[in-house]
Amino acid sequence: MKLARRRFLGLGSAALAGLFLKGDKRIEGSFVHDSFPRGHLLRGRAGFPPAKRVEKIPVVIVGGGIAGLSAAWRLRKRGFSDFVLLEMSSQPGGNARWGQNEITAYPWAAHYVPVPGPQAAYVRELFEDLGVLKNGQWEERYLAFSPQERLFLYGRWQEGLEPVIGLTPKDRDQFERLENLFREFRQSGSFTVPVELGLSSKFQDLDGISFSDWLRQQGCDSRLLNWYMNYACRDDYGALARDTSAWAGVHYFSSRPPEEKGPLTWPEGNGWITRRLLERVGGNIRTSQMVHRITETRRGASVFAEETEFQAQFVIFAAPTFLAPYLLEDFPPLHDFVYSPWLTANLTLDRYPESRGAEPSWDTVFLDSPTLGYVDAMHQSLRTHVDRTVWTFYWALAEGAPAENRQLLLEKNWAYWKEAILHDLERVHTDIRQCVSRIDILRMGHAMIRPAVGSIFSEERRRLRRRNGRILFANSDLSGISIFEEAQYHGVEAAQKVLGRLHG
Amino acid sequence: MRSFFTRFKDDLRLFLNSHLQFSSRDEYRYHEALVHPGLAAVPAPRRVLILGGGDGLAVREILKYPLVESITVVDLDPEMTRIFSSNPMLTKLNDRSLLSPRVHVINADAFPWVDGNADSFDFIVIDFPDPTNYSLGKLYTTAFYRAVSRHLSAQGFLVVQSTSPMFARDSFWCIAETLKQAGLETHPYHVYVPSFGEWGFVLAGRHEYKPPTSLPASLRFVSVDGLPALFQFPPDMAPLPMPANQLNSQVLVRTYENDWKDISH
Repeated sequence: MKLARRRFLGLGSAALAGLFLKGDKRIEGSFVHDSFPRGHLLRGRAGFPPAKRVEKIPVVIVGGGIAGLSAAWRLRKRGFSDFVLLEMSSQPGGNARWGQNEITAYPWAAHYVPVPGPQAAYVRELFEDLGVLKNGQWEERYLAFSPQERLFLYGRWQEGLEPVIGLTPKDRDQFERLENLFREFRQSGSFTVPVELGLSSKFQDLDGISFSDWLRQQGCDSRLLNWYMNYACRDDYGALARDTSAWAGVHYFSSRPPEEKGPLTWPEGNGWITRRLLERVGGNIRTSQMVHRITETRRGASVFAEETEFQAQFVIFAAPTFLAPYLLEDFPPLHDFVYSPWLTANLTLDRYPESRGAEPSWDTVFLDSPTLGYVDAMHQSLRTHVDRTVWTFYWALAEGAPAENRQLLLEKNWAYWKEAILHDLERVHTDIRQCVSRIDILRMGHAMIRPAVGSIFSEERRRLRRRNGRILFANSDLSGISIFEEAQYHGVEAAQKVLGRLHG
Repeated sequence: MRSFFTRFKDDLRLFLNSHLQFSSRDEYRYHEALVHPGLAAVPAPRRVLILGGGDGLAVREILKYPLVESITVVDLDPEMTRIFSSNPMLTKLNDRSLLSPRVHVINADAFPWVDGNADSFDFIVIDFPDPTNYSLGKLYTTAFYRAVSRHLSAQGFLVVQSTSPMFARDSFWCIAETLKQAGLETHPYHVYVPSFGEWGFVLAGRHEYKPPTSLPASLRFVSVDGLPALFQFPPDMAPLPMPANQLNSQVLVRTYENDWKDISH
């Protein structure tokens, strides 16, 4: 109720606590879900035990990320359940995995899906199945609550991630010019999600130069603008603008309507979608199944996982495509598949740190940080009173060569990364060490495909998308862009091709 | 939440986070207006829900209906309901309402509680602090009103304390629009409470509203003859076109802040 003549100051007891320097809390944690020990067995072409069992099954899906789960969803939806999905890890989901502690569920990687446009028909169909889209309306509870994003710059907060504070007339002019260019690209209809539907040779030249070179050609040299463009590339591609195809850079800004009311998100990020898919296809999934060899004949394909040979008519290869040369005999080495290494961490907070002058937001980013900031898992809670939470901290290791950064991920211990994360947060939240009780860290050497120069119109990629044998590829890396919609599109497409050929 | 009481002569006042919640001198006006226009219009009400309102003052008014068998009070703050059940000065004010065997106090966050409960109610009182921040703003959204309206029986009404249609006119009509877009028919009204000024409520349900022709005895403010006038809005408080408040927009919090900025400077 009732009269509020003064604006709420937000100075609770937490503010006072910050004045007393207590000893730092003990922070627990570890690396989680390490996948490289198994991956490196493949790389080393280790001897795997011979098959002891044979299972005949019409369809095998390799990989339980969004592409594989979406293929399974489509098969089941069409009434076909004679298949298995083999997942290497103990937990399906891939980049849409999630975790859960006593406070909340939280994402391990992807944490939102933009409200899909009319071309993302499969995504819309899925969201209708899951009750996210009802009678043409997006369920309000799944749209990111306000306030959504905040940026820390020059010692203060602003709402939104595109810098609006401290812009010179030149900065403003360049932001406006780019916005106009992006609008024209958008209106061309060539920059679509999924990528394949709009892909036109008309803009192939853009794929021949880096996004940073393209920006320079447009006369965009504003520091703030370039920070923002680099942030966008790091966020969606794990790469700096200079390592990103200009086509992909343009796609980031031109593939969606400028005023959407989303994105769609959940406490556990896209893990929510994984959970819903598992409810529908979980019975067909076998976890902790490491596929170590796939052979293809004219009449079928065999998948060797652990000590079983699955004899199938069709294989949907939904795992990252870079694994194919290690699994398939006589598969040529790949040249156009570069992956960005990432680190994500989930921080358990026993209380919120001070951030005077800003309401807690869904997504928080710091200007000029090498990291991507963090997302608050409790932001989508319906509660009004929240004291503890989990922050998911994102860090694409974009600076430098991916192989060197993968090495760094492997070499440095948990304490090193813990300190690096706290150091980044501490510049803004000075009392962060008194708030955090646990930091779990996920290292992903090949977290997402990188749309490097030349990769979108790559002939290698085109060939794999159109491959007509018994093995169909389905990972999002076929698009060159690692987003939910691309993974789902290729997964569903592969399932439809398989159904067509089985019944055809 | 920090609460303070002040007392000057016979005037006891409660502040939550420095916002005045009531003054004992005129709170009867507020609470009679909150409860009776709606509750007296429900035929044979048996079950009532109050969200917020841990001071037991709305409960005191509802207990004046002998047919009401059960009143569920869902209030976040256990300290609030405890002190209004035990402190002699406060139990005198609320007539020991929270101690009635007809009353069930639940200390819980309202939105998750509403989501997790399946009961049906004939009258629902929504009496939250004003939408001064994004947390409280969630309790004024189409998503929340949709969730609450699932608990409303066929003949039932719900009433929402909706800030001042005079000092926060945009906010008041934003709340009314939000209830509309949550699928309810709305019946806004207002009263004068000296310590607050002109104050507003929105009554909502799935059917037509006719002001009641009888009220509990011994009311000091609301009367059968006076009721129709409460639903008339003079030009300076007349409806304004406003968007609905949603979880992903929270336009109400921004609107409310601007409304009060306009009059306090």
